[in-house]
Order: sequence, then C-alpha cells, then structure tokens
Amino acid sequence: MNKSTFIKTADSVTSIRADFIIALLPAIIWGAVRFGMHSVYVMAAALLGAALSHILFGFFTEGKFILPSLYTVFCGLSFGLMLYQNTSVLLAAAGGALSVFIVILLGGEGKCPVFAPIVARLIIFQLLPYRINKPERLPLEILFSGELPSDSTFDLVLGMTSGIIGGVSVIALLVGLLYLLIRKTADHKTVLSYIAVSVALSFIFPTFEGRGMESAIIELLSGEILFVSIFALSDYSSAAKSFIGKIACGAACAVLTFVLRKNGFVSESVFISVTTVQIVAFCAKLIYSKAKEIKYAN
Amino acid sequence: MLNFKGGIKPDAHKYTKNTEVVHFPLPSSVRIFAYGDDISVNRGDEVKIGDSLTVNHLAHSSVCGKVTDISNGYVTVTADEKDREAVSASAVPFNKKLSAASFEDIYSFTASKGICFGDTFLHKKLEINHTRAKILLVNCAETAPFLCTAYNTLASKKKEIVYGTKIIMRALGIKKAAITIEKTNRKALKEMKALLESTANIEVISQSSKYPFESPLVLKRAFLNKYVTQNKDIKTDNIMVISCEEASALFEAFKTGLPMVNKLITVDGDAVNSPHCLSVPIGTSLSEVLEFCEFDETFSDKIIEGNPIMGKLCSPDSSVSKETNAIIALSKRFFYNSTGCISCGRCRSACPVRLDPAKLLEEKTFSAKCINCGCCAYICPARLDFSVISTNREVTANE
Repeated sequence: MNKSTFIKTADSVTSIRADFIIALLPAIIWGAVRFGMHSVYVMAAALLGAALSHILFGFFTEGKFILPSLYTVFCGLSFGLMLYQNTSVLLAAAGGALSVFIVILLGGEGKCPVFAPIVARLIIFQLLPYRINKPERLPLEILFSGELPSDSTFDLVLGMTSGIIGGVSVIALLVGLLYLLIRKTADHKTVLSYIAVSVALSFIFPTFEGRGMESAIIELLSGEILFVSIFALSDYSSAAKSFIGKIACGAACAVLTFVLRKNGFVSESVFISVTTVQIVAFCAKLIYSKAKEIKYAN
Repeated sequence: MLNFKGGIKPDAHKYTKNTEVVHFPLPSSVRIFAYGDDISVNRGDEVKIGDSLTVNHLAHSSVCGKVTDISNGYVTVTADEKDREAVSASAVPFNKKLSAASFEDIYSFTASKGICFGDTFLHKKLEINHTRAKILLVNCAETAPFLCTAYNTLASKKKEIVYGTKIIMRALGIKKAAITIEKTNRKALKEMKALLESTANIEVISQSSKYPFESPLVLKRAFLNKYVTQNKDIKTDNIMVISCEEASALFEAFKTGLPMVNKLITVDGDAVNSPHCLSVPIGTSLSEVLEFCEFDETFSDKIIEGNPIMGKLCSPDSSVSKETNAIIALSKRFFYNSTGCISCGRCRSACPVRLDPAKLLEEKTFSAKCINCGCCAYICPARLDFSVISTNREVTANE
C-alpha cells in the first residue's frame, strides 16, 4: 500500500523559480530604461556567464549538455542587477559564472547557505575594483560625506538617481515584492524586519544631525536595502525558515548594515552584512545540530 | 472561530456537494471484513441484514443470504434472490429512556452495532473516554478534496447528529459539547444554531476550512487554545472527538436497532464520469461501485480509498469497509515527478504539529508527533515523498 499523497499543490519548483524571475522584471525594465543599452549588455552578460557556467559544469561532471535551470537564470540576473551601469561586460559575465559556481560548490540549489550572487559580487569587487566603474556621487555616499543629496524623495522612489542597475527604482522593487507576496512565494517578515530596524536605527542615530527622518528615508531608498531584502533574504535556498529566524535575520542584517555604514563601508555595507548574517546563521545551525546529536548520544 | 497554525487549503473539487445521496442497489454478494474478530458463522449459514458475523459484533451482514466463503478474515455472503432485504430479528431499537440509561446500557448497545468510521470503533472510544472526557466535540469538518460525505450528512441529518451527541453526553456524563462546522458552510451553521437555540449545553462553533481539521488532535488543540486557555485542568485527553457521521449513525442505530451495515461514501475523481455520494452496503465490491459511477478504466491511473491526501492505493477487487469514506479514481494527470529539495520551508509552515518535515526526511527518521496528515507532501513544490516520516500511523490514530 502506498501512503504517499496523491494530489499536490499546483506550485512546483519551476513555478517558484519563475516567480522570482518575473519579480525581477520591473527592476530589469527600469534599469534598461534608466541606464541605457550598456546596462542591458551588463545584465545579458551576467546571465550568459551564469548559463555557460551551468552548461560547462554539467558537461565536465556528467559528460552531457544540461540546460541551465531557472535558478541559474535568477542567479545570473540578480548578479547583473547588482552591478553599476558602466561595469565591464566581461566582469559581469565572470561574476554571473562565479555565482553559479558558488551555488554548485556549496551544495547546489536548496543547500547553498548564502545568496551566491552577493558573494560573487563581494569577491569580484575585491579582486577587480578598477573594472567596476562605480559612479562617483551615489546619494548614500553623499549623505555619509556630510551633505544632503540633491535627489528628492520622488527621484529616489521612481529611480531617477544613480546606483546599482536593479536597486534604483523603489517602485519597480515594490512591484516585484507585491507579485511575490500575492503568489505567496516570498515571506514579508524578513523584508519588514530589515526595513523597520534599518529605518529605526537611521532615525534614532541620524547621519545628518537634526534631520533624522530625511536621513532614514535616503538610507532606506538609496542603499540597496530593498533589493537585497526582497531578493537575497527571500531567496528560498538561503532564507531563514522559522518565524523568529526570519525576524532575527532581518534585524541582524539591519544592525550590521548600520554599524558598517558608520565605519566607512557605505556602498558595500548591505552586501557584507547579508552574507555575514547568512554565514553566522549557517554556523549556528550546524553547532546546534551537533550539540543536539551529542545530547541525544549521551 | 477555531483555527490552527499551519495546514493547507487544497483545491476543493467537491463535485458531489449538495447532490442527493443515492442508495446503491443491494449487490448479489458482499465480502465483509471481520476486523480480526472471531467469526461466529459457518459456511452455508443463512443470515439476514444486521445479523452479526463475529463473536464481538464488529461485523454484520449487509445483505440477506447465505454465507458462501470464509477466508483471510473476510466473510462472503451471497444474497438471496427472493428476499434480499429481510432484516435480522436482533435489530431491536434501544428500549430504555435515555434519561434512565446508564453507561453500561449505552455502551453494550453501541458495541453490538459495530459503529466505526475511522480507525477506532465507537464503543472503544466510549470505553477510552469513560472516566476522563469532560468535553465532547462533534467534528463536521471535511476539508479534504473531493469528499462530501460529512457535508451531506450535516445537510440532511442535523437532528440525528444532535440526538447522537446527546446519547454520548448521557453515556459519559459530559456536561458540555460543541458541534464544530466549517465557517464556509454558512447554511449549516445557521440551521444548526437555530436547532440548538434552546439547548444550553451544546454549542455550535465555526472552524476555518483548513485541512486537516478532520484530525481529532488538531481540533482538540484548536479548541483548547481558543476556549480553555484559563482552565489548566482540561487537556487534550479530556476532550472526546467524534465525527458528525458517527453521531448520526449512533442515533439511527438507537432508533432502528439496525447495526452499521451501510456506509455513505463519495465516489469521485477525474476518471469517474458520474460522481456520486452513495449509501453502499458494507462489503460491496469496489468494482461494482465504480461501474455504477461510470468509472473510465482506460483513463484511470490509480484508485484511492479515502481522501487523496492521506488515503491509500487500492484495487477494484477489494470491497467497501467501515473505514471507507471515499473512492477516488485519478488519471495520469495526477502523476508527479520528484525533484531535489530546494529548502523552501513550505512543509514546515504547513505542518499543523510544527515539525520540520524536510529535516526529518533528510535524516530518514520519523516523529511520534506526526499525525500523518500529508500537508507536507501536498505543499512540497519538489513533490518529495514524505511517507517515510509518517510511519507511526498507529501511534497517532489512538491519540
């Protein structure tokens, strides 16, 4: 007798992967419109790099050509969207490939404890900083240099400012988030926790003395927090699973981001904090499991 | 409203909802399971409808005829062509006033009628809950896909459910009972509330339409969380749960004296052209039932006894038993290929007893807390088979 379940939900792994890619579309479209053709080449190169890496890995390990999965597409696109518009196309391709390589190296989809495109970005930015072509006056950097940026809140919300290709338009990101929430693919707890704690910290300890709310808004809208909290912290492979885990993860990322920003890591703070929290959470889980095993063995 | 954390809301597929219950014609022969009890009849014996086939009255003949075979714990009765519907002389209604009846009176009468709708006979439930039950819950939830038997019972037998509830309350000395009905079944909720308007000790409570509210443990915990937060003396053990079908069947047995010889079942699925809610004599061959509902054999991939989330595969050669509440024939459309776990955590969110099914599966272990509801397997986008973690069916059945 079979005890298995005979009917299943319509959602499949493919549909979940597709949902994340669909949620990226508004950011992709706005990035292309705002930054022009070179940004399209950057995103395409990252995607191709990721796909090629997947195909080559399949060829060398299994001796056959394997079509890239939608998760590979998501990794490639996410990496492309985290670059600046004038980044070298070759670097974008290399980063896309590195993202997929990291996923495979750390156990594959569903096992990888970190959001691979962010790790790839951190590595690439450390190894080849001169190929990134970072814009000179990012709103967040202006704020931390002691001035108030000239960009209005409307510019920041719409995405009429400079920053990473996928992170400039708050509206595009919120449309993506809304789609994920309607489809129940992403969970709002981590996103809300990250945003709420970030805003609270920026408000209580404002960068620009006496203008706490303004500082908080600029830090939230121009600092890649939204992009990372929606796509990196909601990524099903590396996201926390329990209620407390989700809240704690978002809050820890926000605190670390705040500390890093205050200590000079302005543009990279979000990426460093998310990766650090994911690594710490993974290690804590391992230690907890081992401790439990030892406890039961005794 | 009663609710619980986790659970799923599967597509309803309730095509036999609001349809009339059809009485299946008496079959030419029935093959009745004896539930491991000592068989009290011999080959060649003449039996009538309601005659006991076992020593402890767990199985009764559902047709009038002759015992033609006794094998593998089953008794086959071939129906008499002339007088198929003759009823046993032992089918005598309960002859005492309910207010004067003791636990022993009600228990022995119930035990002689072989009422069973799940894993446990009703008289066993009475025995288990004799001294400990303080609250009785009558569960009318039917949240599993396709199934409409409880829904149709509730629609047509509200009074019987209430009287059945009163019988159990009397037997166990329970002062408080509640009939729980899904909030989406507004009509039944309203009618039941009107019926019980003047009955102070039976409440009508709405419950969410989440699966697995059919599970007694899930219902008990939801009830405790909502209504018994202050009273620490009441635990899940102090709550007895029966289904609305059990309550209705108990009252009918008391009224007519006839043991449980028919079963209301849902026959549905995309390989069934004429889905029905049928009242079928116990022991009827599944192939006859399926044929009656225009089952398309060429289209079907699997026949499931019970609900399609936690039921079991069965063969058309088997027969309707007391536990059978549905026969669902599904096509190849319902065939799923498994992929690797992507750690999405949906199984964990859906688990009504707050387990981490993916972790248990990875460790190839099972938890005694698992209630085998199948929520994790249903919700899993990777279509993983979680049956390995729910091998403790017996443990949870008695909970």
